[in-house]
Amino acid sequence: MSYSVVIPAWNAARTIAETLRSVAAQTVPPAEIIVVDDGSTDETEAVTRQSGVPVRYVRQDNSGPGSATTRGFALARAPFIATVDADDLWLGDKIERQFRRLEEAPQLAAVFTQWRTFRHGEPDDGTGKVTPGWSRTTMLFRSQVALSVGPVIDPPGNRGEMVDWLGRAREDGHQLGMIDEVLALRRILPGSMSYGRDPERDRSYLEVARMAMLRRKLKNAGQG
Amino acid sequence: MGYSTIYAVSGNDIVYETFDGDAVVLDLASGRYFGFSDSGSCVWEALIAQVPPASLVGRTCGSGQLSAADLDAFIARLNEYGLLSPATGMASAALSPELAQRLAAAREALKIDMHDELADLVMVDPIHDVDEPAGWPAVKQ
Repeated sequence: MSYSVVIPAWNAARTIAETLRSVAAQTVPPAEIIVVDDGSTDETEAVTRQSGVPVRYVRQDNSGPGSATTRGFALARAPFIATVDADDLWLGDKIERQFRRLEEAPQLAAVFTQWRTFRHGEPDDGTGKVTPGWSRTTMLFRSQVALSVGPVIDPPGNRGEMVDWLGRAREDGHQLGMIDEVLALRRILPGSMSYGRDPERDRSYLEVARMAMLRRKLKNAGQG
Repeated sequence: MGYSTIYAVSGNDIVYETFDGDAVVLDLASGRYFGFSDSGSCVWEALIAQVPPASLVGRTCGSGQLSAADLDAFIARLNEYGLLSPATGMASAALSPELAQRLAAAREALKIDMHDELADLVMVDPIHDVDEPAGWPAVKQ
């Protein structure tokens, strides 16, 4: 099975080389790696090009992680798409295990894995918090399904875009599977886009909830 | 329910916003979110603005009036869902003319709907990561 990797990146110079190496080291290597630079103002491009990992590098004006993900989906050519945030890491047999699960359960549209946190600047000692990784970093999707769900929409505040997109995928009836084993690592990087709480960004989640309710209302009106 | 009770949102995990007159509430601790009927949105907004229920009883709400029993049941649901709690030491506020007007124009009965289909997705979103040495809810720059 063949897969494209999409990596949305914004000011990820500190971390993206390590992310790329973890992708390139997969026991089932990718057909292509697409880095979508969402208007970085740091050395993300230089670090990517010097990483030694071959990538397709595209750059866009800063539009948000969902927009960059959508751009990557449109460029991907393989029948499966895996995504990873530019600061997270994959364990070596992640994709191999996910393909195995897809073979066992062909009704699944996508397979996710558990992930564990580790702290930036410190070695992963295996003691981080383990949770089901319903996230961009762990997912492996059938490309046709991913495209059928539509764009990854960035709510104001630039958080929760994957909550919205995965929620829409499930509303469309697609089954998402979860491997109950840690196959990815999530970096705790103070100052990164997804780190910590902030009232402005809490509103992103409210917007996601509102959009879900509006869709439900429309659907119910259509059935009425 | 004490009709002179002032209510407040139950903690930092309860976040809310009103979009075009529709209040949306999200419990970040559980991932559940809540929507309201039009009159429910008005009453939610009034309660979190420290309007005591006593000021709402008998108010025009659509073609009728808000009854104590309906308010009681509505506030009991808000309590049950962990969204509102009685607050102490807070001054009461009057119902704003804008909210009174919206309440009068409401067309639906008091209602709150709970939704949990996104809960697992919200719960694992990175917003829940804690920088342990700094403690919650410290945000580092």
